[in-house]
Amino acid sequence: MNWNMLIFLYLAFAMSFSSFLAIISRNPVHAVLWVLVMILHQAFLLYTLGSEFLTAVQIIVYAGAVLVLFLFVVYMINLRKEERWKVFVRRSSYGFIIFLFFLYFFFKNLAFLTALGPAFKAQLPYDLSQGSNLLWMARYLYSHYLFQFEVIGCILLVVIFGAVFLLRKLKEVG
Amino acid sequence: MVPFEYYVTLSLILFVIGLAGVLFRRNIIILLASLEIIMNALIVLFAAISFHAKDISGYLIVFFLIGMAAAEAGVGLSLAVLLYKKLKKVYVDEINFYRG
Amino acid sequence: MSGASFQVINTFDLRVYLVPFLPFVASIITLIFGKRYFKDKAHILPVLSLLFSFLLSLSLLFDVLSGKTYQFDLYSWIVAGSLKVGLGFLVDPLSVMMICMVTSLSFLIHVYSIGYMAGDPGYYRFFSYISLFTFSMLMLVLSNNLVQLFLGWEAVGLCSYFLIGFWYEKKSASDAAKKAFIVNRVGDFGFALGIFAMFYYLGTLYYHEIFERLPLIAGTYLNIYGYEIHVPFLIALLLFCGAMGKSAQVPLHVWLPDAMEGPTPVSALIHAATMVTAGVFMVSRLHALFEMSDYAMAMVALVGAITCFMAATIAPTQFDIKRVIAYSTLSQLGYMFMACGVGAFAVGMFHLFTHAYFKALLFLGAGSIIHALHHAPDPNDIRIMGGLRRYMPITFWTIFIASLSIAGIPGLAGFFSKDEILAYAYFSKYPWGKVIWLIGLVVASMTAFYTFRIFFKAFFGEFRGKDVLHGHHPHESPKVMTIPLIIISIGAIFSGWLGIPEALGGGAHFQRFLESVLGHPEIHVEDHTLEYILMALSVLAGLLGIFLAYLVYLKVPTLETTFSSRFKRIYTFLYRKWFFDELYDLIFIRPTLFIARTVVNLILDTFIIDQTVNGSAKTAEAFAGFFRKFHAGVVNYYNWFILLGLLIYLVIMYLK
Repeated sequence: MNWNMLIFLYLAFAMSFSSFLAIISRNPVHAVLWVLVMILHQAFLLYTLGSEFLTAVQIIVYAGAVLVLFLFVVYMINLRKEERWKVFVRRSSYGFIIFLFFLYFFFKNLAFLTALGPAFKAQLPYDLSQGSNLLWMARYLYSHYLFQFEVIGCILLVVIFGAVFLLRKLKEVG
Repeated sequence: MVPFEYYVTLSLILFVIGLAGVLFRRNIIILLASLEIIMNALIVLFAAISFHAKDISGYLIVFFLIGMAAAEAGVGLSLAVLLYKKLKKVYVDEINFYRG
Repeated sequence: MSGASFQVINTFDLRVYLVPFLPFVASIITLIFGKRYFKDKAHILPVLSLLFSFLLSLSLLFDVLSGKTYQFDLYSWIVAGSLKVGLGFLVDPLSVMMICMVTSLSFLIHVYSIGYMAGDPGYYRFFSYISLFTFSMLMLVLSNNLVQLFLGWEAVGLCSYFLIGFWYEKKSASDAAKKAFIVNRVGDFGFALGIFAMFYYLGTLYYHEIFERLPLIAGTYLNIYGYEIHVPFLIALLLFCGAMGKSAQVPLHVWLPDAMEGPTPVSALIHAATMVTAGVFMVSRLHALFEMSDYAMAMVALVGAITCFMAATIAPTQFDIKRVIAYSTLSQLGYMFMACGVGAFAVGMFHLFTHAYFKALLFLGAGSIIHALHHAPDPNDIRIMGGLRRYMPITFWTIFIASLSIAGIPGLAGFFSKDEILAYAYFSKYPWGKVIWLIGLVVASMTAFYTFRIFFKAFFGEFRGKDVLHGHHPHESPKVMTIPLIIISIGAIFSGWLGIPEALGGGAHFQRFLESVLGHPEIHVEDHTLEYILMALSVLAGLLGIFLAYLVYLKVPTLETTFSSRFKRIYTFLYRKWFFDELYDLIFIRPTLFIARTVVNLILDTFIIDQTVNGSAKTAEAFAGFFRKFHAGVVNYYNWFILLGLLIYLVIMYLK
């Protein structure tokens, strides 16, 4: 049991537990904050997986932008007085039965996935002695994945338009 | 060095938790937050693959995933706000126009 | 030029591309923006585009004259297995002659329409359609494979539908449009089958490959129920079905006279430049195929001769000026097919070329008369005309030129081409040549008779339409209509001079020009004496016709009714157009209606279809009543069902 393992176990436990709390908490503000906890832990997990750049992105984009957006919306909608209402949908038990069966077969079938990892053959290999992880990412991002990169940019642009369009003056919508 | 299987297991657990949220929660905002949890499960998986196979693709896919997650959250939340403004409701089982 | 080898250019040439596509673009733009933005200026774009396309055609003509031909694919249009069809162009003497003829006439007709259609509510629509029509014809002519030919072929049919039914508020116009479309469909069915057969036996649809491979099927026979059928004959027959439909030959000719319901410029365009010539063009283009089978040639000649004679007998009995000219078109098309049927394809094309000019002239002149009389309830009726010479001198002279030309008076276009056909028919190696010649000679006389009938009735004597015009006087048409008339009349005189036969000291340049594509018919001319005699005979026939018309319609007007009252039965037979419409009504339309009304409507509809429909509706209702319980409108429940589907999939995967 080395330090790496200990850190991983802590992170895994914390992420699982905080996300579990997120989906059962009654108050949406709490739920979003628990997701925030999970995401911060995940950022650290990405650091242990060797990518400091992704750690930064995770914190800036996820924690800094997305989750703040969630919080804004929660405050805007202002749900506190409805807190005493039910958390889960009605007749959840039926769904839960399906869910359990699903879990069973899911894990049965996906056992092979765990064996896949080292079998992957690197298509775009990187070598940390030739430069940092960030450098390698940049190299491939602006050559091999350039098109996808542009597409993501377009998608984000469209999202901005979409959000503005959806939330323009509601009188016009009807 | 943590074995790859551990990461897969973590990813699956996160995925299942997120899925449970999507399946059973009534609040549309928490529904969307659960989708983010599922996204994060994917991020863990891809980053771990990349780390273990010494292949850069996984990291880049994580990068794209974060972008996609931001886009998805933006659209989803604006729809939620729109719904709330029009109907004053955020509980998905109360919004049943398409009841058969 | 004879036998000169051409330099084939296989690379893309912009001019070739622009010739058909300029009118297309103009048409589309006019159609989309015409109503709102162009209004009464809608003619500008189509006219300009046609002008440019005409100039480009001329430049291509000079290229071909200097020994260059073009043949290239724009892109591969349909690729499936060994079938490859491109959108391609072939510019050789045949097609370049056609595009020059089509664009020049179409341009003039466009200009003429500016005056003729002025003030019509569908002004923009009209110009868009005739541009599209021209585009279709150019695509048909310029194609380098059969499928693109078929595309143009169908598009021409579609545009004719639009244009014949242009005044669609009129029941007769929309009926005529439908008739034209459906009759053409019958022929096109055969044509499509012909293309399939061609591909089945030759494995290609490109002309140059077809001509290479044609000898391979010379000895192929197809066995159908014990009958040995020569494959080239079969293909030629099927393709000729299409030509019969498009070029209005017996028995698919019924649409053409009815097509007169469209505006007059359209009739001119259909009859002179575009649609009806497509059949002759196709037969000439594939002449190698037709020449492989004597039966096919006989069939072409026979159909041509029957049509020629039949139309010439019907024409003198009709009173609608445009109908008379339409029947004369049928008859002239018969001439062209007769020429093809005796192996003189180049001469057939020559007649097509000259006919285009004088027929366009006749139609536009008739249009001018109709325009002058448009206050009358039926301005097409020649019984209300008469004495128009004083009112509209330009129209008088141009129609006079056209009539002389079609009657075959020496020196004008029609004389040279018609005479060539008769000469080639007489000297032909085929045994039916002499018969064709005789029919041609008789019809030449009849042609002169009915043409001068309308000429005399319209322009001489007293004006008979005073009481139907309600005080309006007939007037000469505006300049925008008369100037195209004058230009075309020049064509009607001089277009024949391109192909003056050798017997008259000319060089037959036109036929020489097409020889590299269409080959030289084998004829045995010992000396020119016989040719002179034949020529004199045909001129005499024409003069006889004119004289008869003069006698009947000017000198002794009582003769006009004598014939029709004495031979009542024959007259009725001719007046009702050989009862073709009645025959089709009896054979096709009544049984179809009978089946539709009794079998389909009463039995199928009530018992089978209604029961099936109601039964399925009830079944669906019962199922829906069960499943609507699951359709609660809650997103989560839907998610569960998605999960259930995934679960089933996983179970199946697991059990495997």
